Amino acid sequence: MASVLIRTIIIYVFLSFSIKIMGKRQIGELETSELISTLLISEVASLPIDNPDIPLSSAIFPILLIISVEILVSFIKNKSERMKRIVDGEPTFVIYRGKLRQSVLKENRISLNEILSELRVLGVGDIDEVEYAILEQNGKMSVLKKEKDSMAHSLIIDGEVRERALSSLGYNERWLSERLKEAGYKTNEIFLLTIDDLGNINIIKKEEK
Amino acid sequence: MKKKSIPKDVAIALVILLLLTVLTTVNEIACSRALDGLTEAVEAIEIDGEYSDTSRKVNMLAEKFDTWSFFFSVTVNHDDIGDAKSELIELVEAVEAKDSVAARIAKSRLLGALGELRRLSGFGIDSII
Repeated sequence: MASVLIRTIIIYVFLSFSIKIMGKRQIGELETSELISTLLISEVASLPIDNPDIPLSSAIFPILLIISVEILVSFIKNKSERMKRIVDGEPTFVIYRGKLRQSVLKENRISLNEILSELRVLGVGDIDEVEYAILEQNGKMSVLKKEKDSMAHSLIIDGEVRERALSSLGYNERWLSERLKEAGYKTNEIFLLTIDDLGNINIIKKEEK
Repeated sequence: MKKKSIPKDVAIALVILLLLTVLTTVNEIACSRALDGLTEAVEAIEIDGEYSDTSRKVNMLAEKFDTWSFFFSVTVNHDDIGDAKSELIELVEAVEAKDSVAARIAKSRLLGALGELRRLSGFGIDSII
């Protein structure tokens, strides 16, 4: 029985790795870990149905294990931005400040025709109208148009500084510390800190529990 | 200073994991002991000994196996339990027929089947892979 449970964990890790390699496009609506759990549960659940010689516990115990692991992984992801990045990946800018990032298309194995098609589905007829196009973690694309919409970039999420976002906007940690000092906050007190394209900073403090 | 409490669903998940660990451990120990007992009972059967004694031991073994097979069936593939049961029936029939050659073969095959059950219900690298 312990072998069945360990095999379940091994298959879970293996599927996590495989879907990460496949990329965001295969995932659709679900996050990575949710998709793996759904796939595994449906497969495992069918085993004793397909083969009556397989004891029920070979499905029930692994399903309980998968559900428990999924809950714990979700809990850890909520607590740790880094863990969330490792498990689910990050949103990727396909168009950034009006410029199409061709290297991103290559990395995610997306063609230009697919991008144009997605934009049309979102009601955008001309790629030139787009200020930001983001390939989200669930594989969907979201779009912010030029002039009409402004993009708020997250620099601190749940007390953790997003260093890559900070450096991509041309800022550094020293600049961020100074802004926090001016506002009278410490990094670990911040739930969300964003900055828009006009340099306006918005801070949401963590709630007292 | 306020204590941070664990969300309800996380607590439930941890309890489930703990229960699974306990059940698995108990199952491993119980199956291992049961198989030890059955293996000893099979090895104690003397094919060339007194017929009444051999017959009694074989029938006791059959009863013991029936009792334990229900427990095994919770976690072990029923096919594998069926294989062991078939070998046991062969042994019973061979002993009843006073066919010592067939009984020896059936005893050997039954020991092999019990060994296979031990391997499948146990915990090791080969059962994981």
